[in-house]
Amino acid sequence: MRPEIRTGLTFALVAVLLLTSYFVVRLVLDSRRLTEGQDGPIREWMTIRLIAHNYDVPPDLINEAIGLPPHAQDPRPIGVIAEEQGRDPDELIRAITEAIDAARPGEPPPPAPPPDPEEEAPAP
Amino acid sequence: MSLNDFILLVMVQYGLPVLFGGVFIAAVGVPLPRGILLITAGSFIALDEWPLGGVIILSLTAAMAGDVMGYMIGRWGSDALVSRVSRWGGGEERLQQAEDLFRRWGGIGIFNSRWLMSPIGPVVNLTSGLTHYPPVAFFILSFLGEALWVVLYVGFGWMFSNQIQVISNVISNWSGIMVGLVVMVVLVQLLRRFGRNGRNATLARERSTSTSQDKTS
Repeated sequence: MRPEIRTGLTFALVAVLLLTSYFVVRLVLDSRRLTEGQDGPIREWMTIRLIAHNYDVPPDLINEAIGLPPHAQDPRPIGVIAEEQGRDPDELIRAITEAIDAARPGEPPPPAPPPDPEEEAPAP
Repeated sequence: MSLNDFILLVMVQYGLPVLFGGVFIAAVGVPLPRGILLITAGSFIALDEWPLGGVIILSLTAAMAGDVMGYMIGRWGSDALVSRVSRWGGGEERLQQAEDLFRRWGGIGIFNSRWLMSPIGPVVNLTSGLTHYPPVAFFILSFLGEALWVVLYVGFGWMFSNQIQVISNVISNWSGIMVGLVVMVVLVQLLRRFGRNGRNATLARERSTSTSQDKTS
């Protein structure tokens, strides 16, 4: 085998080994979160019922937090509801997070959504 | 909004047709997060918002349609593609060797790439077609693997319906590890085989040099 091919294969092996180790570390961390009953932040694609189910709160609490009438069984994602209300989805998520936080004083609050890289990017 | 979030938003808004389309496109080879689509569908089944039977049948049909299309592209794709792959892989002889190898070990690969290492599924579909793996066997193995995949992923979504983001991460990390291990085994095999070939070539060179020296003396 030509030496450059051998070097290339060795480099590829080391790269795959590193990548696989990264997945192992992430698997351990996520498995711990799974056993601790945690989940990720509230997302735009989630529905009111799903959020209520995730955080074990009544759906009406979320309805009230985002200005929907009680018992409104809206099956749409909150991102679509925000668009219809002419509001920023992040604003809706913040309102829901605060309402859940207030309703479950002893429990850890829902994690904050990760910052949007597009918003963080400096202006050209 | 990330691509995953956007796809999930569209799926939650429009329901099963988007699930079908997403799973089909991902099975053909477009890098879409088909696992998280099924896990999310499982959580909506747990909430009694989506029908269990509908999700299972549509996902399985979409995955099978995508697999068969990938196989057909590999098998009956343009001659240019086949000859290019064949040339890239070392010529007709190598392609024949790959065919033999795939006939012997491809069954396990096809089955496992449906559920255990799903990121490499589209490549296996194409390779199965390219190496003329028997179509009936391909279909049966694909069906069994995809059925297991659908049941497992929907089941995980249903079981961990209040933790779908974390369970999706756990499963995708697991898939990544499996694919990584397979790629490492392949690379080690290649290094060993080429190393052997290199040693043999060196030995042959040394032998021919010593023979020619004997003749001259």
